[in-house]
Amino acid sequence: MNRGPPAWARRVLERSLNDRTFATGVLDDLDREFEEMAARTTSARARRWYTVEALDLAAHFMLKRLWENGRMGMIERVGRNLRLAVRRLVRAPAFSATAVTTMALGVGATVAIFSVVDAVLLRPLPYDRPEELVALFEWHLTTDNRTNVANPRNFRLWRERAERFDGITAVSLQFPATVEVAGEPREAMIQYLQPDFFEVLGLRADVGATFSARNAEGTEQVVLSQAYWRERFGADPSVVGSTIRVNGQPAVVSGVLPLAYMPFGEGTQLWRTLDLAQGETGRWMYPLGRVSPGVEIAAASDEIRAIMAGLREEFPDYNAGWDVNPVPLKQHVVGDASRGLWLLLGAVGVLLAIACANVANLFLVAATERQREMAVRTSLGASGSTLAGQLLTESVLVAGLGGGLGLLLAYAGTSSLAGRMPDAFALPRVEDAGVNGTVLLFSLVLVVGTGVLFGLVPALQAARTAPAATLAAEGRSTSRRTGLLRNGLVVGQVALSVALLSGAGLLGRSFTALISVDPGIDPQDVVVARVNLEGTGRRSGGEQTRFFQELTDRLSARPGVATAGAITFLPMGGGGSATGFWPTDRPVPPPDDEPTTGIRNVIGDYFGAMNIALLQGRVFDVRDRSDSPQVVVVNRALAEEFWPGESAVGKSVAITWEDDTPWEIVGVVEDVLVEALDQAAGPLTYVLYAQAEWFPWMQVAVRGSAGIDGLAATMRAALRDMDSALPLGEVRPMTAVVARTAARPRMTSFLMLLFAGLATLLAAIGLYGVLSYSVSQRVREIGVRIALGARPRDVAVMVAARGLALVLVGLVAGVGLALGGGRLMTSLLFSVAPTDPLSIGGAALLLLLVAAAATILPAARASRVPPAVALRAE
Amino acid sequence: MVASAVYNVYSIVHNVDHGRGIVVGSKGFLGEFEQMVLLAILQHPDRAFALEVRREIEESAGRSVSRGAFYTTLERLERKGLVGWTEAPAPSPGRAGTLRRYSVTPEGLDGLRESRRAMDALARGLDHVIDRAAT
Repeated sequence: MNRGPPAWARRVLERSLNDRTFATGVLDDLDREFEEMAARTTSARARRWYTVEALDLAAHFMLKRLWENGRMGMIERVGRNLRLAVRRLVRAPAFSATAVTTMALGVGATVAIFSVVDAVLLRPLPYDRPEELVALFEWHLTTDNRTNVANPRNFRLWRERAERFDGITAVSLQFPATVEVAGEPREAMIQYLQPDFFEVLGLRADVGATFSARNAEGTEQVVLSQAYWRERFGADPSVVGSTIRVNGQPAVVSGVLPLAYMPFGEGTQLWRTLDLAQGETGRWMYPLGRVSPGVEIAAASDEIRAIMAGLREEFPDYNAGWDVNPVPLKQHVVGDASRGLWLLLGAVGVLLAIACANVANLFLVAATERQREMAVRTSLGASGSTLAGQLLTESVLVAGLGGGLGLLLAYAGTSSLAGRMPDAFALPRVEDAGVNGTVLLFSLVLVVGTGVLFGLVPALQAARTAPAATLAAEGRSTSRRTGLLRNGLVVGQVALSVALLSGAGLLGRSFTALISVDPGIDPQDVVVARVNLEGTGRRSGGEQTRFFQELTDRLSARPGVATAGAITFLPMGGGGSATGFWPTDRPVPPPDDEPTTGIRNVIGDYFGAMNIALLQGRVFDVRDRSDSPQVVVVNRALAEEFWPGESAVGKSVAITWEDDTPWEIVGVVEDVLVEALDQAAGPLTYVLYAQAEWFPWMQVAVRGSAGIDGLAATMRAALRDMDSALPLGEVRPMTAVVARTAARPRMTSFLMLLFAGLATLLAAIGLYGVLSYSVSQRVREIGVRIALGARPRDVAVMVAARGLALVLVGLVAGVGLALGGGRLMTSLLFSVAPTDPLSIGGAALLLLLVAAAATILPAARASRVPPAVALRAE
Repeated sequence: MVASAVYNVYSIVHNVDHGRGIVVGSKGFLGEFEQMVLLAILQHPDRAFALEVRREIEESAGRSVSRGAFYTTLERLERKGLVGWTEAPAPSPGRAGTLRRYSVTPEGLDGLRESRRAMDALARGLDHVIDRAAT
């Protein structure tokens, strides 16, 4: 049984060899080895051996050949194509400039928005294993408030009983504090936290150390935010270990946090540890859990819900009507910022598509003009793939140049926006936005992708060039297919522009509606600033009231001041207090069905200072003192909900703040928007500060004719006269407080409008380009027409009609897109329907006008074609 | 130390180019494996068929040699004019026909010499280091 090596394996090996390698005698040697092998062992084993060796060798030679061919061919081809492409771009500067600028606009806008999306939505939170972190909110079932702060006892028991968590920690609401550094007191925002907060969060100090359970003993310690460290301490590292005074108490600076987003407390400047022994009443803390490794968030959430169910049984007076709401931290942080951002990213995507369509159109026109060149080169032996490769290189080069320029634009744009963003954009983590690795990679993909995209059609066309036909046509005709394609691009651009414009219109109208909402106050000529008595030794029970009463009285008496008052939480200023209550003329409700009301403590002429309309009864006056009967003023929403059709004045409510004693309603005032302009007012109860010193600070509001700066100076002077050691918080015009709540819609609608405007401009340029090109292609035909007696006006109308026909098709498609797209924006709109006819019709009309303008020039040019010139153009 | 070693290599290349005008000078030094192939051919010129050369290398170096790399190297050495060949009867018993028997050309010998010289120059004064490392 003398069988040779397997013939198929030998053939595979043979085919992998080129002449030179064949000549080395590879096959002969392998045969010889096979014979030796077959003599030593069985022939079957030798054949197996031969197969493996032959295929291994074949793979080696094939890979080698691929590598060498590929390397040599590619480098040479790309180099040649690049040289040609650069030469061509330089020879046609108008073409290159238009194409590059268009791409730069599209790429720049896209990259800028993407960098914000990346920073806000995509990047993981800057903590250790952030996917394990869960925010544990309480859920108030009656009002369906799912992100309520939690009760300290609930927090403590969750922590004691939960087993699927590595740790549960908590941080308080944000509070104002007086921070004295080197004898100078200033207001700062502070949060109190559990000593292990930073450990559970997984965030280490940038300078010094965060406190932990180990070093929390002894003197109070504080950790500074990076921003506060830079602003107040000039980024001096030696501040670590030094002592400052917080609310009058000494505290040692233990460390500075890195520039990282902090959950539950944007803008907090320092943190100190929390004394849980203060009591376990109220709801004022944000618990944060880290689930144990390997435990699903859902399983941990189930556990904490079961624990809370038990706590509802154990403490029904406190927990009836409450549940726990575990939310993955990232989801909480990103929250509702994502909708507007995705919309903007979609909008710039559309803008980029329009830019690509424009450049594709330019390339198509150029390709048509180069048909003869391509035909000649094809006849001379250039392959279709060579020509296509060269055209693709040109388009990718244009995209690359445009992309580079766009990147610069994006960089300038984001850094200039970032400087103004904290207020302008009001997005979490937006300060991290910028051009980084991810963004660069995204830009690279974008550039190559778009370059290939708009270069593909001309390239494919070049690859299919039929030289004979093209040369015979002498460059007069443009292929029917290309014409259709170019028209299609224009129609698409018009449609997308209409959709973007109507999106911008919807957001713009929504924003206008938002800022024209009556907030229930008159913020003009009002200046506000907080005064915080915490740590000054003035105790509640009269001293704080006396101080604020005197301050507002003194302010009212100053020249240029009309009136002054103070309130614990400003409308739309962020933060607030609320509690359960019930009308005393009704049965006491069960705890889980207790209505809630916002609570505001006021002093002085607060209603006058804010110009809040009185509807019934009276506001607080000199009759109301700390020792007089307890009275409240309620808002319209509360009065109408509980006493519809009758006067609320004279009725009483029990407020479950300290005890359930009744408070008599003496007046009803107009609703004031509390949260933001787009959130309707709920029940609100104003309590006289003299009868309820529940907070050590007040927001002082001064109305007057002295101007914003004048009023601010008056406030500083009045406070200095009373206590020079007391800092005045940031002094703001009330208009700025109101405007801040509309910051995000303002920015979204502004950017949408900007992108839509750019898109419209690009679409108009595209239309203009297509029309003027078709005029130049039809010069001969037009000349003949004119020679045969057509009036110039008819010619102009003919050209314009062609353009407008394209626009009309685009408009119809665009209105359809707008109607569909509007639905996606519903959640971003305020009192504007997504099918708002004014926005959509306005967008269509605007585009029609712009398009008409773009057709005028080519039409006019056509009408002026002198017949002789046209006929001579042969 | 590193800088002076680089300088040595540079000056050797320099000498090669201007002093002797050898092919190797412009193409760079022979690789380690190329040298091994050349030396194996020189060991037994009478039976320097590809298979035998490869086996010689495997035996002397004590490690197996990839067939692919070997034939590629052989082909490259031939292309560079460092090895030549003549047809000779196959050494295997009972096999008809002829096979290529390889030999090292004068250029190949020069290349070997230059590469060895460079190595020697680089190793100058390092005997104590190298020997200690080797033992």
